[in-house]
Amino acid sequence: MTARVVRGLGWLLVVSGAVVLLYVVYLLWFTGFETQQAQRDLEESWTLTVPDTPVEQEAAGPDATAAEEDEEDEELELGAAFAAMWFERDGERIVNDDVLYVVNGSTLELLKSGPGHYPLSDRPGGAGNLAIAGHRTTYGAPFWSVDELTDGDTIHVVDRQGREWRYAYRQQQIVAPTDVWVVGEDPLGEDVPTITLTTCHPRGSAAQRLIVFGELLDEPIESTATGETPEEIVTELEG
Amino acid sequence: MTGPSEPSPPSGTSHGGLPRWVRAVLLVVVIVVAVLVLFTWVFPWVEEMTQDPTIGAQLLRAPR
Repeated sequence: MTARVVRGLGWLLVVSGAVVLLYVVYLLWFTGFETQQAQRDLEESWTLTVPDTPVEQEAAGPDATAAEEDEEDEELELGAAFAAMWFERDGERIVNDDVLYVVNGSTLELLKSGPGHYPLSDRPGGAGNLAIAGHRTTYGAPFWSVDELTDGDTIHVVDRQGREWRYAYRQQQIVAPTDVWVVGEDPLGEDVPTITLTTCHPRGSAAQRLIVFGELLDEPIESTATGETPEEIVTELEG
Repeated sequence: MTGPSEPSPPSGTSHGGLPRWVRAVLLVVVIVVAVLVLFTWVFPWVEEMTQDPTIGAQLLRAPR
């Protein structure tokens, strides 16, 4: 009887080990295929819906354009292509070879498709803070080497109107996963338009978060951020 | 030197007493339940704990 229990336990451990090993292999290598496919789909929808040349604000009047954009942002469904982004150093692309298509929303499910825009943060080029989350490992690891950014590097974001916004790299910081101030309205406390990128730290762990801050180099447009405090953001997310 | 051999069980019945087909069905049920539990709760939980790049999600999970 004892021998049978021991043998059963042994088999259980062997099978458990194999399952865990397969899961790790799936996470490290196969999730990337899923993201690649999602990025291809996002690219396709992006090229169909986003103009090659930026929409002129003067065409409909500055107020009309802002209102229309607000409406469009609200209507944009979760998981749809929200923006396109890449990183540059001296005109050369760094961090990623390909353009990253940012999805609307930042749940774990949505982040399987690529970097995700925190819904309550500002739009690209807005006067507030544009916050984007991305995986450091797994699911294509879009922010794998985002820690390599240094002074002089730029973060480029194209919005759904086809306008390209440039953010200058400012600093990076390791914070706790609960430090929601980094995605708040003015994380640098300097009242400048910013971009915040959040990702896991260290690689393969979610014990901490690596935060990259950038400052808008172009003339900002009207903010669409909710202007809520981090506590209000958490409360809203709960609802 | 060999001892007396054990009497063989009736056809289709294992030493434990359960018919073989019952044991096979039980094994399949256990495997299916284990896979469902792994993919429904365990793996998503592990992913949330190790792969979440967002800020504030832990506040939402924290007891109040």
